[in-house]
Amino acid sequence: MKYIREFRNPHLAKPLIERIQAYAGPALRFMEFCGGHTHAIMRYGIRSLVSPMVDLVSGPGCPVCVSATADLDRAIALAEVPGVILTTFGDMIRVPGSRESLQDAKARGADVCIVYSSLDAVQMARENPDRPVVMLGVGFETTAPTIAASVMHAEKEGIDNFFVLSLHKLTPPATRAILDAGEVHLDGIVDGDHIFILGHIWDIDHIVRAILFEQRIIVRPSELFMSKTTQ
Amino acid sequence: MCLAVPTRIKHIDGEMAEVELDGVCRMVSLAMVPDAQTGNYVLVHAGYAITLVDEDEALETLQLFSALDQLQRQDVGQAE
Repeated sequence: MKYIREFRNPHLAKPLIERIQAYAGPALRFMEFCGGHTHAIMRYGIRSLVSPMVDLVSGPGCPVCVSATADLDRAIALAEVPGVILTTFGDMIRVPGSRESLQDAKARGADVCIVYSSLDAVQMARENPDRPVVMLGVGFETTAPTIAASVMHAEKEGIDNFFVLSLHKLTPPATRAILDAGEVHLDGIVDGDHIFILGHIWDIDHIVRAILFEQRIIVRPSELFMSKTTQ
Repeated sequence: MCLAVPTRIKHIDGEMAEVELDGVCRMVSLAMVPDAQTGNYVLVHAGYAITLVDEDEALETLQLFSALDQLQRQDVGQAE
């Protein structure tokens, strides 16, 4: 069991879609929280499958998209400091700053490296003890703990040339702003399981539940049909 | 960066572990799941295992999906 194919089984999905399409109550609107969900919803055509009775809206944005231009400019300026190795997740590389992107800076000779994990950046620092290695820490609550753990990892090993430019964002204030604006009526939020897994660090569950009114619900995909955990 | 995937632990070396998904192997940190054992499934996000995947829970969810199918068949049967 690999837990991916099993949850993509069309024979399981079909009856669920049919039940949603047969739904005849008031129209419902859900906001997905995570760019990964937005991607899956677009890729698999889920929006058209559940319309018109269920409306899916995207928000509050991915941490890359909502990064400030000034922050990008700071990252690019750091990458241009002689000797610095700037490491970043791949999705930041083409995001434009006010003049150029990290990719443009790399093309001009800045040492910008794409890493899968902040641990790869720590490894680079280990291999290049005479050069400052800066990790561009961009992400929501899910990514921040991994960046923090890499700082602890570097400290434990006595690696003193590993740095983090922290551009992390918290999602509850953004969610609260969206809901408080009153322009988008939501019946619920579809949230990422891994947000909740790491949420105990940030008390996400408490915050999000406090934001949502009682008639609203939060849907964790794995809880959707699990009476055990929704009680 | 926000994609977390379940992978199986092949072997553990201190705080690091080699995990495998569909034949692709890589080293991840077990700093956040110190109790993980070889053979366990863990959810991996940005190079860190962030939680153990509960096999019973996953199976139970899949069984409930199947149960919904049965429920609908009963609904259709009653409507007819």
